[in-house]
Amino acid sequence: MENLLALLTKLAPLAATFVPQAGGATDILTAIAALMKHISEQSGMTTDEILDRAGATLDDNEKKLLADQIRLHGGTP
Amino acid sequence: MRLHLKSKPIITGLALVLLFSSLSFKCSGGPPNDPNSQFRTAAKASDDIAQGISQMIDLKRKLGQQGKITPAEELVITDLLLKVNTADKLFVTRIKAMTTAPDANGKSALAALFAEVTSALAELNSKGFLPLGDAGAKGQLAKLLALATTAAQVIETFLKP
Repeated sequence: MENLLALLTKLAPLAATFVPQAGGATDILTAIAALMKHISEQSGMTTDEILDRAGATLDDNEKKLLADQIRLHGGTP
Repeated sequence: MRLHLKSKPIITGLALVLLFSSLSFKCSGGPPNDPNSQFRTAAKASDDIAQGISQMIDLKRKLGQQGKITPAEELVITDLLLKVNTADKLFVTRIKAMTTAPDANGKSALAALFAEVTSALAELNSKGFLPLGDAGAKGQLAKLLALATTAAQVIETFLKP
């Protein structure tokens, strides 16, 4: 499963190069493959580890979103 | 029965949600002797939502760079994603603070907190995605939202008394 997801993630951008009309489809495919890989990793983790990872992802998301707010309001980042 | 062209994206979306759900349940077993296994379902789903938000951030940035969504549309989505993120963060903090399996009162408190997450997800759809002018961009973002919403439904089941 891990190999299949890794392959899918690598192939998606290549597909966009050869089939320009597939751009949107490959973006969503890449995103879904990343999501499924994330979920499959949970099976080897303890609940505390899952919560810690969720917290770290949420902190990272917050930083990105605050940077985007500044950018979209005409700021630098 | 012939499939109408317009029904294909819906079927694709449903198939993805089904795939996501089956994978999520398949991975429900944790390592043996996990001391906090009673929170596992909620922890997994909150982690799925966090990752779903992350993917939506990357996708909306890409769509913005490609000019498929306007800066004004991206700003609305950004504000709403921040609202979902903050709500999920509060939920994760509350689960982490719990040391024993939640009783009826504990579940009720968690359910109230989680209602903020589902409400923010619904608002993201109605005020962020549905008004988008580009149908392709709308469809892509909506697919990721459907996955995050499926994770939310898993938490809701866990929180039922």
